This record gives sequence, structure tokens and C-alpha cells, in this order.
Amino acid sequence: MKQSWVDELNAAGAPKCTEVQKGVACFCLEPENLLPSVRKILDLEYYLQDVSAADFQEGYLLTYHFAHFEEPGQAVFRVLISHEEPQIPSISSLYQGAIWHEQECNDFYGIVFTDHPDLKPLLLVPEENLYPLRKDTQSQKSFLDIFPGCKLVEAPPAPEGEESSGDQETAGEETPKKKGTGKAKARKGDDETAQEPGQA
Amino acid sequence: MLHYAQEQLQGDYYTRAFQAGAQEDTLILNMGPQHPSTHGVLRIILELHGEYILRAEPVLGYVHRMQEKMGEVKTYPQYLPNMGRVDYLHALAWNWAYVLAVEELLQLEVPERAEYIRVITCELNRITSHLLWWGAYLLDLGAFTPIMYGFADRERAMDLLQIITGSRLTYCYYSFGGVTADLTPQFIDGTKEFCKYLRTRLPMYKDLVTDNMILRHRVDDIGIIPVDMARRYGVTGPNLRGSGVEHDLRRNTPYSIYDRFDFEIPAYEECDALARYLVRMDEMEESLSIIEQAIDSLPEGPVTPPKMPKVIKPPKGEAYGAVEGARGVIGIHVISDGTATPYRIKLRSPSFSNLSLFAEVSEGILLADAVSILGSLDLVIPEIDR
Repeated sequence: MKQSWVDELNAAGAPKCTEVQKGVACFCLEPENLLPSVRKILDLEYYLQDVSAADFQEGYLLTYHFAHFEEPGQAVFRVLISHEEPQIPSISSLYQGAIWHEQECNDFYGIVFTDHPDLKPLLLVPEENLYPLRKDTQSQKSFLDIFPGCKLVEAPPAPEGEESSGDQETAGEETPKKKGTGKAKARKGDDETAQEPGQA
Repeated sequence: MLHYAQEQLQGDYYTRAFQAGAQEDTLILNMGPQHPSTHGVLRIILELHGEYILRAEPVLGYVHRMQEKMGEVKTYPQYLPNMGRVDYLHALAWNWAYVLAVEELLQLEVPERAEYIRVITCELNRITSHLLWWGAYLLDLGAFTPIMYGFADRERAMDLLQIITGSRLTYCYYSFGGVTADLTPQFIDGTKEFCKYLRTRLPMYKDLVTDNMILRHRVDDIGIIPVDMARRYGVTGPNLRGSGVEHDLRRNTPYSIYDRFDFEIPAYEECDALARYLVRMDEMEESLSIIEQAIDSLPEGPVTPPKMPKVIKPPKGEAYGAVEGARGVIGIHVISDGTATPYRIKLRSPSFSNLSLFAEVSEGILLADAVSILGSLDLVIPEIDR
């Protein structure tokens, strides 16, 4: 991404780009800065690749991927919203392609996109609220731990900040066990796939 | 006699929601989920005024398998076979996007020979995908013969891919850092022969079908997708190049070794179904040229990295593997928490974005043209539903 474009986005409310590597520029936004920044990136003629969410200790992380038809690389917007109030403005008035992506996030996580034209279930059964990709507190990991470059985002004041770090340690202890069982399976799977073409 | 509850008579959730906004004196029609032109189980609810479409709404999810959840409970290698089943027509591109993301996380170097093998097989797979699209699209438009030609030629390429991958459709051939099996002399000779053979067939397709007046009337000036609309919906691949934008990841963000080959990016300015048709026909020739160049310069050497970790456990972080599939940009976003299981896998499927514009593009057109537009978008339903 061109430096001048990064500056324009900074001016539009997207805080300084946290990492620029291999042409990927990543911006960590506050929810209220999302729409002005998206409007700016539409002016810069980027197209929407996808909108996705992930469940972390600090809240739901929404990731917006944009790319350009002529320029190489990607622009990434990250927005963190709290578990208690999973609400974010919809960008579908600017990028209509986001309508389905946002419905999908609503299906999987129960995130509410305000001003979305029709936030009904897209892929899952309409009669139930399953939210299959939500994680329980045991398996949630820390967002700042996985993305150390994104310190700019102020994590919402977590009431049990001390406890959550404790959870993380216990979760860390549990995962090696999973790894142990996973390892055996993984090797087996590896061998099978490696052998099949040979046998055929 | 059967008795239905009042609710059942009013249709399911989506029909009821759609009916609520209907005008007077219009017909609500369900096209699919078992309609021949929807190729799989896609359903489109239409509001018709005579033969004209006032409103359309695709209903998804009939083959939804929650691939993203599966990614969170399987280890990295265990998830590889899933990639062959997302898009059954260009499975190797999905294989590639996934291994590309994991290789970036692992900082794994791919041996040169493996890169060449990936290019050859992926392009061969792209040809089989386009051949099937060609036959099926013309079948939608009422021409029965082309699908027979398309399938017969596709069969040859699939036989070749079967020699090295061991499967015919849902390939699981790429592995982290390389490929699972080396090319055989039989495959190399067969592929060279196939390239020559298909070069004689493509002009025949042109004479038989592309220049046919009946086809032209069905596709010319139908389903206009301006560049601005493509941008707002995230349309990529041949559909975008049919709108005159030469955007191809193989050229824009060259992954693997695509910068070493000499090939064109076909693009047409007309933005209609015919332009998208012509882009795919030209792309097959470009793929043939890439395959021939790759086979000619195929280096010797290993096809897997010399040292592989016993357990695939990428460090904390994220990676976005993006490749150019037969339908557009395939993106796989992997977030790793340092364990043997991905923390989150997001699959960005090109058909999903390509279909999302259907509601806008079909407003006010004839019902028969809707079939032509759906076909020209080259949809693969399992890829949309994931």
C-alpha cells in the first residue's frame, strides 16, 4: 500500500498502520472510526475481500480484508468489540458485498451489525441460534498475545483481568494434552495421505 | 388426504420473509434448490411480473458443512483433505491457498521442483474446471452437444491428474512444504500430448459454439457488471476480467513462481456474459502455455523439504494465503495460537462474493436471462456454502 494512502487513512480516523510487511497494511480501529475509514478506502478504489470474526478473551475481533485491482498487497482493518455488547456499524451501505459476510458473522457469533438491511440467518437453520464458532472461556486466547503488533487497540476494561490471565495459564496446561493426542492422529493422517497416491 | 399446518402452506422462513415485501399481482417463484441450472442446491426466490424479475433473493446453506468449525477442531495436516471438498472443480487451488498460509506461518521453504509441479497440476486443474463450466453453461442455454465434448476432453486431463494424485475430483495432493508424490514420466508425456491435443480442440469449440448466432443472442449484452459494482461486491476472477479489469493474483501479487512464466491475462471490456465466456475460453489457452513452459523448464530435485517438523505447530500469528482459483481470489486466513490446531480459519470463497451481486444484477431482466447470468458467473455451490 502506498505511503500517501496510509496517511490519508490515518487522517480519516484509522490510527497509524501497525505493520506493513509484504504489502499488507494493518489498521486497528475503534468501532466509531470504522465507517469513515471504510468510506476512505472505497474512495481509494479498494475492493472488499471478506469480513470475518474471531472470538478472543478481550472480545470479538472483526477483520476486514481489502485489496486493490491494480496495486499489490492488502489493507486490513481490525476492530475489537466486547462480548457483552457485540455491536458494530454495518459497512453494507458502502460495500454491498458485506451484506452476506455480515450475516455470516451473525450466524456464527451472534454479532449484531447495526443498520444492516436484513440481518437474518444466511447459512444456518433460521429457527435456532447456534453460534457454533463462539469459544468457551477455557479455550479463548488473548488477542494481544497473538497479535503483539496491535498494541494500539485499547482492550475494553475487563472486570476479571487478573482471572483471565489465570485462565490462560490453565488453558495453556491443557493444550499440551490435546497436542499429544493430536500428534498421533496427525502423523497417522499424514502417512495415509502420503501413501495413497503411491499405492494407486 | 394430507393435512398441512397453516404455517407449512405459507412456505418456509425465507419464503415468508420474501413474500412480506411483495407487490400486488406478482408471482413468487422458487427456482431451486433442485433446479438444473443451479448446479447443485442453490435456491433463488423470485418475484415475477410476467416474464420479468422484479426482485430476487438467493437462499444459501443447503450444503453448508461448517468447514470453518472443522478447521478449529482438527490439526493442521488433518484439515488438508477438507480443502479438496470445498470446491470440487478446482480443488488444487484450495489445497494451495491453505498450504501457502501454513507455509507462511511456519516460514517453510518449498523446493523448486515442487513449485513447478504445483503450477503444472494447478493449471491442469483450472482447465478441467473451465471445460466443465463450458459444457454445463451451454447445457443451461439449451445446447446439449458441447457438454459431451467438454466432458470427453476433461476426462483426459483427469486421468492424468489421477496418475499422480490418486484421485479424480477431491484432490489432497499438496502438503506443507511440497507435494505428496513426484511426477511420473507417464504423466509428463501424457500432459505434453494433452496440451497439443487441446490446442486442436479449442479452435473447433470456437467454430462450433463461440461463433454460433444462437449463443451470441443468449449472452451478448446480458448481465452487465460494471467495474464499480464488481468492486462493491468483491467480484474477482474471470467475472472481473470480463469487466475489463486485468486483475489476476498470478500477475498482481505473484505467489510461488508465476513471475517466471510468460502468459497473458485475458480481459474484455464489455462487462456482459459473453465477455466472461470469452475470458474463460482464452484462459484455457494461457494455462496450456504455462503448463508447457513449466514442463520444459522442470528442474530436478526433491519435492518435499529436507527437514520437516514431526508435529506441525506454527508459532503465534496469522497468515493469509491467497491464490487465483478458476472462479477468483481464494483466500484462507489462518490465526495460530501456537498449538497444533488452528485457532481460527476463515475461508474466503470467490463464488460467495460473485453470487452476492445477483440480486442487484437481475433486477428488471427476463427470467430466461437469469439462467444465462447464473451460468456465466460459474458458481460452485459447496464453495459458497462451505
